[in-house]
Amino acid sequence: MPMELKNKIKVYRAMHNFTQEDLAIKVGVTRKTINTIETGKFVPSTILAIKLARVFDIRVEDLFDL
Amino acid sequence: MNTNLIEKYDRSRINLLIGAAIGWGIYYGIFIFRDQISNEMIKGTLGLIGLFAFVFFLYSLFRILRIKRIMKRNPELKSALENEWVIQTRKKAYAIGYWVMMISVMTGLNLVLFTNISPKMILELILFVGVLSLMITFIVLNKRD
Repeated sequence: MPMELKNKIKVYRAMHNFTQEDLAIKVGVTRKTINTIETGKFVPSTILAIKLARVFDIRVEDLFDL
Repeated sequence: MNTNLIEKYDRSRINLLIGAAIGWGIYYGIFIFRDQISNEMIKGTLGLIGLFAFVFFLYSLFRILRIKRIMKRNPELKSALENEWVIQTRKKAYAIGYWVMMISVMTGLNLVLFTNISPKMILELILFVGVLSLMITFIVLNKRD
């Protein structure tokens, strides 16, 4: 059975008061991409995962979990 | 990078693709089936509609190419619009389009063998379905957010 990658992007976004668009601009993608990652439809690359974690100043493991 | 600019181009790109798909569907659909109609009046009207659809299709393609040109001049915009999710969606659309083409070819070959549909018509149908399926798949995958 394929493993699902859980993420806490929505939680950290709320903590930092960011909209999906704000976050998208910070990591250089579109809002749709952030939305698909948040809803678990799309698994980001390592580069994008690191970029996302850096925006929130946390470790990648804190943002994503199996 | 301006967020409105990314969203604006992202939205207009998909809207233009919808326009291109509609234009292609009407233009090529009419082009394929026009010869089956005997009434000259209907044939002429359909020809005119087909011509408008073709112009609309070309216009949409031209606008898509214009966005590509803008992206080329602005690397930041390009990397935002051509991000990994968009690339993955495009690959998925190509894969689905490929299978639709394969199924169309197999169905077409059987139709040529067992019916009296002309091979030219089958080739045109394969082209029609192939191009349309690719565009529709990308639009559907892109809209699923």
